[in-house]
Amino acid sequence: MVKKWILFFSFFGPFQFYQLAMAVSSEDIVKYRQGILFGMGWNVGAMGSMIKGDVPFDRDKFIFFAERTAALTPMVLEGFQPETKDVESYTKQKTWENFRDFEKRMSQLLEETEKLVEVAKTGEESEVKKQFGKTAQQCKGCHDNYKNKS
Amino acid sequence: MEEKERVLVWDIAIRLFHFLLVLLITFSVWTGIQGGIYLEYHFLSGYCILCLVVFRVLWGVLGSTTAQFKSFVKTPRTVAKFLLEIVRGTAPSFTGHNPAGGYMVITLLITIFCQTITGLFSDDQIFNAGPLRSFIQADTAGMLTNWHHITFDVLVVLSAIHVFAIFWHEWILGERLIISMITGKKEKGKGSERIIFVSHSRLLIALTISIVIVWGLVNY
Repeated sequence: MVKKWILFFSFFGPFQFYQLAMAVSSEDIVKYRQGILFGMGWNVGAMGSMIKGDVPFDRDKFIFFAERTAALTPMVLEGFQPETKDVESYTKQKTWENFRDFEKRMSQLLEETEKLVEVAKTGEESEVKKQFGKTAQQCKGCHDNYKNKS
Repeated sequence: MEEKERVLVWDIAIRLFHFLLVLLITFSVWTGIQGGIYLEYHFLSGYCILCLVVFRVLWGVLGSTTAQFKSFVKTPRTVAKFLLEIVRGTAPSFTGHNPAGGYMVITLLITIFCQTITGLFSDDQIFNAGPLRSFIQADTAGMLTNWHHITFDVLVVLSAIHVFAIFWHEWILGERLIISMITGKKEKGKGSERIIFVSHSRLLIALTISIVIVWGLVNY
């Protein structure tokens, strides 16, 4: 809940709540966000294998990966500091031009991941699959708009 | 207007191939745009499309006369002449594919083939990856995923030209090609050599070969 409010308030002033508290190079900021996103991919991939049936569905493990994804999500925006604009990365330039939209999508992703944790704890396997799909589509939204594939 | 005799021109294999392709491509577009867990069905649909393309190539050699490549792939000069006749309004109607349509068949088949093959190596960088993705590096996969999107754009343009040409025939030239693609029957026109229809057992053989090839590729 607190995380949600932080993201909500961040609308009123970009970077206000995830301002860096230390001096760090732009390259390191990019490395940081890539690390967080890689970690998210790691956990989403683990849930995805269960959803696809590559490995058997294990509710406890699924909750574990879902919680980690929900915990990593609010850390992402901190890595998208304006000074990283010119560092070579997978980020499309239009991300910076549409940063408010990007922020909005990130807060929607947080809602979806938190809902995924809830559904994983209480819902039927089919509901978990549905919510996982919605979360992955939220990932796709930004990938399609703001990420270069190579 | 004098009713010309309508004869069977397109065999059942060609007609089924065509409309299954339309349905599967539509389904693939929808599941591809959705992403997420829908990609599971996008993949299956893609395998079926690749099966159809391989089948069509086999059928272009083993199939009925109007399906055979040698019956409709003409020299570029013939195509240029035909296009000129279209502009002048003196183009004859053809029993099978006309020279321009023949090349459209080839172009569409190559594009759809590239579409499916790049798809086998693509991933969504979320949790879905094509069956051959693990054989290549992540950046190569990213590049092929881009190509997968580019060939799709090409396919949209080609499909638009294809549909435009069909309605041109339907409304401007008065050739009822759409109903022909359903019933298989068409007015006789230029190049109306005797059409030999091959047996259904050959259809089954060609279909089996294409399924085996694609199954092998996907499970490599």
